[in-house]
Amino acid sequence: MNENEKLRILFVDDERKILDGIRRKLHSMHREWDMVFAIGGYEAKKMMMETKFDVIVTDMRMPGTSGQDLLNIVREKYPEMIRLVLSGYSDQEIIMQTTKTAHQYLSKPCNVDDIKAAIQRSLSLRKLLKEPRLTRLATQLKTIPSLPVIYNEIMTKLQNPDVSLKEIGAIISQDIGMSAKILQIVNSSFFGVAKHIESVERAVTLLGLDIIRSLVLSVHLFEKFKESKVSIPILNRVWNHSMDVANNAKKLGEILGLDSKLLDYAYMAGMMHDIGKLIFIAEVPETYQNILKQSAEENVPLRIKEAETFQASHAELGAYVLGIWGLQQPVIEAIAYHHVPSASHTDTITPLTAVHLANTFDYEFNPSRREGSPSTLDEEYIERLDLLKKIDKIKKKLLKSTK
Amino acid sequence: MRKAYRILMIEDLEEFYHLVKRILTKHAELSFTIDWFNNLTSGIEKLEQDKDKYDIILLDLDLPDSHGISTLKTMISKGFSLPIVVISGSYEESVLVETVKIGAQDFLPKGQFNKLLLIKSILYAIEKHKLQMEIEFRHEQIENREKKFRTLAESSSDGIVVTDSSANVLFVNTAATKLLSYSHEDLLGKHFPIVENVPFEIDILYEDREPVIAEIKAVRTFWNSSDDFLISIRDITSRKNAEIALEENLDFMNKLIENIPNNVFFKDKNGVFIGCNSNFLTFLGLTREKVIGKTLADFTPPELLDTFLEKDKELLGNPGTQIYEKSFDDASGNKKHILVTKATFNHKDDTLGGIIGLIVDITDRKAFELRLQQSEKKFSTIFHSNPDPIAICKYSSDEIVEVNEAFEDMSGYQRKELLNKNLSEIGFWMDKNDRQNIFQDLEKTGKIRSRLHRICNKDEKILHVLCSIDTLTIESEKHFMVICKDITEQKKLEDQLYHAQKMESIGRLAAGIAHEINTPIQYVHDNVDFLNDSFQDFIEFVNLVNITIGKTPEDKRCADIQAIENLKDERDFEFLLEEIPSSISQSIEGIERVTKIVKAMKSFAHPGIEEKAPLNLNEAIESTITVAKNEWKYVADIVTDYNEFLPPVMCYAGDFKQIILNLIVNAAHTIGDKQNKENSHDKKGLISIKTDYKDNFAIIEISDTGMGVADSVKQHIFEPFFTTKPVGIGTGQGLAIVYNIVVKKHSGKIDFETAEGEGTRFRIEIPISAP
Repeated sequence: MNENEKLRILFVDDERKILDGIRRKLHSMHREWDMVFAIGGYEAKKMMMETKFDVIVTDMRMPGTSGQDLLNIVREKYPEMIRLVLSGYSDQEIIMQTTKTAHQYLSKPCNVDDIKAAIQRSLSLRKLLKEPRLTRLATQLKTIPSLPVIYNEIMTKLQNPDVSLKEIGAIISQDIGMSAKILQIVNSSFFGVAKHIESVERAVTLLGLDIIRSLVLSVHLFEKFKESKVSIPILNRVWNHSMDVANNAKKLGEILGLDSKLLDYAYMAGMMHDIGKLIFIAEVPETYQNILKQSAEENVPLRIKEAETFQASHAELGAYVLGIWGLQQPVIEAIAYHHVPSASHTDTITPLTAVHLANTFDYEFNPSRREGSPSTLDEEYIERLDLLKKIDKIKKKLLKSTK
Repeated sequence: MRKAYRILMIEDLEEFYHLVKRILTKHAELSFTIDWFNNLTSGIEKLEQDKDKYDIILLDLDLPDSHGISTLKTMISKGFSLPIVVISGSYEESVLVETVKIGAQDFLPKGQFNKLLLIKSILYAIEKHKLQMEIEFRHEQIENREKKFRTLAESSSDGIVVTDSSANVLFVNTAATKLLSYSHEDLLGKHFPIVENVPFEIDILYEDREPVIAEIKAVRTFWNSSDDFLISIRDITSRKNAEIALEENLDFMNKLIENIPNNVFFKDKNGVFIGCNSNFLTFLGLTREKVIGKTLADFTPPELLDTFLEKDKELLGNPGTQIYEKSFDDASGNKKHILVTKATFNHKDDTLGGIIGLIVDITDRKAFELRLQQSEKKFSTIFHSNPDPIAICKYSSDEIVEVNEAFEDMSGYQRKELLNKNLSEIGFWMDKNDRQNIFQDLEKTGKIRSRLHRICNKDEKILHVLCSIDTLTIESEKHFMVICKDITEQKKLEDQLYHAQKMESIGRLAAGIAHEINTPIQYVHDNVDFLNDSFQDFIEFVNLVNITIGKTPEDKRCADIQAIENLKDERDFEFLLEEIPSSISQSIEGIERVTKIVKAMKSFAHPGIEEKAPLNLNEAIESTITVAKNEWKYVADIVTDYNEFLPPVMCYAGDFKQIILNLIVNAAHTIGDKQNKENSHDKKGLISIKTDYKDNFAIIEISDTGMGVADSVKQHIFEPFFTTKPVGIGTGQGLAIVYNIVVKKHSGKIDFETAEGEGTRFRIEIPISAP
């Protein structure tokens, strides 16, 4: 995509006045964005056939082609498009279906500035991925598969009518893919929650057992890795590494004096910092197997090998996916830059700091978890934050707290 | 002692008297006394007084008061039965003969008279007279005997015939002539057939009367000779008839006993069987020889013998009748029950004769009784354990005669509290009219089935029951049985379900209404935001203009105007001027839209004062359409055709809107289904709503262009829980509630026409003024 090209955004609603309102409100963006307004799904389909769009913002309930139909069409035919829903409709059945087709859900009435922010943020993420194939892969992604063990456990548990919400929360928070999906649903206001929740347990509580049960059992929100195609050892390595990084990032955050909200971000980012690896494993297993092999043979950092093939590493991919899913900026940032935080242009202690340190330390503590040559500390970044001298102390504190 | 003879002498000559006296008194061995009378009359007088004082009469024929032979005749005629010796002075032989002939014993002429002759004559006369008297007596005796015999023979009712040895009739009595229907003369001397000593019977036929059966018996007798026969002929007809009757009677009795389908026996007082019928033999499985003349001990199984003997003893000790039952196992091991009825009978002399007995095999009856008992028990169990409350009451008074447990539970009273109470007393008839109405129908149809009824139980809880009533006759009195089905819980559930459906539609509406409101709010918000931003631009612009206006030098103005123009371009005033008016009008329109929705919602959700009140149906429909807009607007347009003259209708406003809502929602769904099926989402369907009225009925028609109703489901669509929607979509109560509201709550009518694939038209009629 040419960066000089104007972004093309398609707004779809069956109510002209809604479109008029948005058009007026976003008029100021007309230099950056080409905004096209379609009344109803039918017109939208026609327009998409004629020209290419980067983002679609659609109502759900429309006569003729519904928002859901439209999103399905977009996902199939125009997979690189970011799909946003703007709806005043609150029928849970329909909303549940959108959890797999829409990247984000905005509830009417909503401030147009929120729409603007969502669009802008999504578009800004585009810079992370340069390879259209990878972009398509990321935007088309419905779910990130779960570890079969955890998947089976939650399926069994949910079929038991007496299961408690706490149990379910505990299981989901053990799984990276499930956690990511649940946070997507809670953070973009699918069910009208629209709160920034970074704790999976709290997200589960907010959604409630009924919704989770429906999402899992009838919408099939979660999936599991197909064991035939995937090598389980690497999954386990990533898993163990991720969970430790999550815990350690939180602890490091405490050591570094992050507030509680940022600690949550640090934990989540730690847990999901390698989510890109899972996406690679799930979506392009053979290619990724090669990359892993080469990286090990050549003793080159994995991200370098990934970038050679996809012009982006698992860090960018993970950040992109979670970004368009509406997860919070600090989390996205921590994931995107967890190898080279200096590229983030930040000079304060953030969850990124915690995740970077936790990640680097973990490979130090557990060499067996390395794929290729391990990440090293970004000294420029550490220096910039004035932590260079403290780093050994921090490490010691961490080790102490772990024991 | 000397024999003394007393003599009465009638003589007119005194000297002759003395002569005789002298002669007689001088006799040495014989003594004579003489009473002398000188005329006949005094002599007869004396005799008439003392006849027995004298042994003989000496009579002179020629007396002063009588002469000749007539004197004797006079004396004889007096009949003194004394010997008479005539003394007469006449010597005529004729007189002598005459005197002896007429009855004097002797005749003494006075002249030939001497002492010896006189004594001899006197003694002879006395002796002769004595003899004569004797003969006479004997003769008389014989005559009397014969007379007696004849009387006897005649008076016998049996016929008597006497024959000689050759069987010729010698004598026949009147009875015989009558029996034989011949006269004496016809019979005497005739031959009469005889069989000696062997009695035989003959039938005697008559021309003029019923035949007679006679028994004839001949025995030898002495009549004239010892070879004679006495034949008795006895009419035995009545005896014979009695015998026949008796025989017939006996035969009848025998047949009767034989044919009584029970086992009959009789035995004497010693227990010896003297008779029985063949049933009895069959019953025992024995031949007659094995029973008759035998006793119980000869053929009764030992385990039964004691009982029977004891019973016999008991009966004989207390004669009369005796009835008892006995059960035992027969030879094949089957349980048998018998009923034994026995009575004593007496001989003619009133001494105890024995026992007559009747044994009835009541095994089957017992089994039947048992079955009846079991059946009774079964029905009783069904009655008592029936989960539905049941009571049986007298028809006339409602008095409870029986209840089951479920009835106790339902009523809250115990059985003993319920019995003999009437139904009103236990709150079964909360309203007197209830009973009247139900019984009116009961009289008409004979039964009541599942009638919705309310009762008040002991805890003063109102229960809803379905009440079924049947009448029945118990001991010839009319009763009724009432079976209740307590549907209070069900009713509650129904109410809850109704409520749930209402909540469902309200919930659904709420989502739709939220959307309906969110949409205008969204653009009103955007517009106002936009106007706000624009106004900032205008303020900036106005300020700039004002500054420019405030500046006097002409040259400056030019530059300022340039600035203004720049600002105008920068802020895209062209765009603003174009957009502001429409953003204002759209905002106003949006606010109006919200207002309308909120109003309609308020009217729709108006907390139902559950009273009928006049309602403008057109307005009610209009507000329902508004509220439900989100339900239909994506799939259909609605056109309305209101009759503006439709008067207000007495109805439950909330319920009415519920009907319209349910029908609109259904219409929208069926249109949506059709679009899905035909994949024609771009073609909107049409819902037409029309109001009108006719007579006292408001008419509402709601038609759609949806799928129509398939024939197979037509009859079900008003049933509760019936739905064609997938599981989880809808409660299946929508049309059931519509039906309930229209028909039951408003006494209205609802029907529909449908064509599959083309649509459905519902037509509702509601009375304008409540009935």
